[in-house]
Amino acid sequence: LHATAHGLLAHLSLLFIPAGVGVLLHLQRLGQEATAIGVALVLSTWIGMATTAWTAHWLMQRQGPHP
Amino acid sequence: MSPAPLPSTGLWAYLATTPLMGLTLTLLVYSATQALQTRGRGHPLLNPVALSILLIGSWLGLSGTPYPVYFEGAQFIHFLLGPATVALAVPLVEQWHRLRRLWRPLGVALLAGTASGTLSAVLIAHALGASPETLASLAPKSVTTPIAMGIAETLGGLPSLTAVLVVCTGIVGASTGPLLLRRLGINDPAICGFALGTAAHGIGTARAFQVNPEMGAFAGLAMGLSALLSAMSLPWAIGPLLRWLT
Repeated sequence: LHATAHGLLAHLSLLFIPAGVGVLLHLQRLGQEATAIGVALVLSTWIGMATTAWTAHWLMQRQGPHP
Repeated sequence: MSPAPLPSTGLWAYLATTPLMGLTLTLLVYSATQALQTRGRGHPLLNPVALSILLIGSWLGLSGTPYPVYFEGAQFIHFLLGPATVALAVPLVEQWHRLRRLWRPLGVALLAGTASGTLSAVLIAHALGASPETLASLAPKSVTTPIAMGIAETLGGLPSLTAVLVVCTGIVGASTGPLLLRRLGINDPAICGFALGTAAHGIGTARAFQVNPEMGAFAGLAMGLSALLSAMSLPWAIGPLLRWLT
């Protein structure tokens, strides 16, 4: 079970390609709002990721080392 | 591993008429982009998902192959997403000892990350003049596709636009995330994985598994929890904000 699960998950990237290609073909839907969407999407992804990491990091440091 | 050699024209002509075309094309392009990423020492722009999607998309466009014809073969790969979702539980169980004492910091981080990511997306897009439908479609972009589409529909967005934005978010998060986290001085694989899964769902999780199974385990956990949290809270938390903004 360990080998199968880890083997499959190591190539998880591959499994997103077919659906991703389908979605790419709809990119022109973004139209004139492409800039607003692009800026919001990139910045908010970074903000969300940084906030998650900082919060977890800060709380784990406060929690201190475990016996 | 070196990039796979291109098939000869005769073989290709045969493959193009069978469902095997989509399958072969996807596997060839994936192994080539994977090799490229290894050779480029994990450079953010060499993300295999992003590169493969671009290459296959261009190929379909140039050769005039309709997407359903491609998907006939590629569906065998797509189908594996189901078993892979179940398989996510295995590394998580193996991290149980760490998880048990980290659930409180991670829970708070999930709330903070989901809230800040969603709010900043809506507010930045609004400030740049995006339409109400676009804002509603953008709000659930960090959630895994099927659930994000459902949330977008509830908020009055366009589910198909959401599907595009979810994939783009995943690619942005997966390709730039590890570098961003390193710059922030975060080295704990559990935290890096959790942040990748919260902000960039499955594609971020796939990236985390490329780094190591521990990072992947926490990314998979975050992906599931953020989907659950967003599905329960976005309709009533973001719905009023959208009505107020527009």
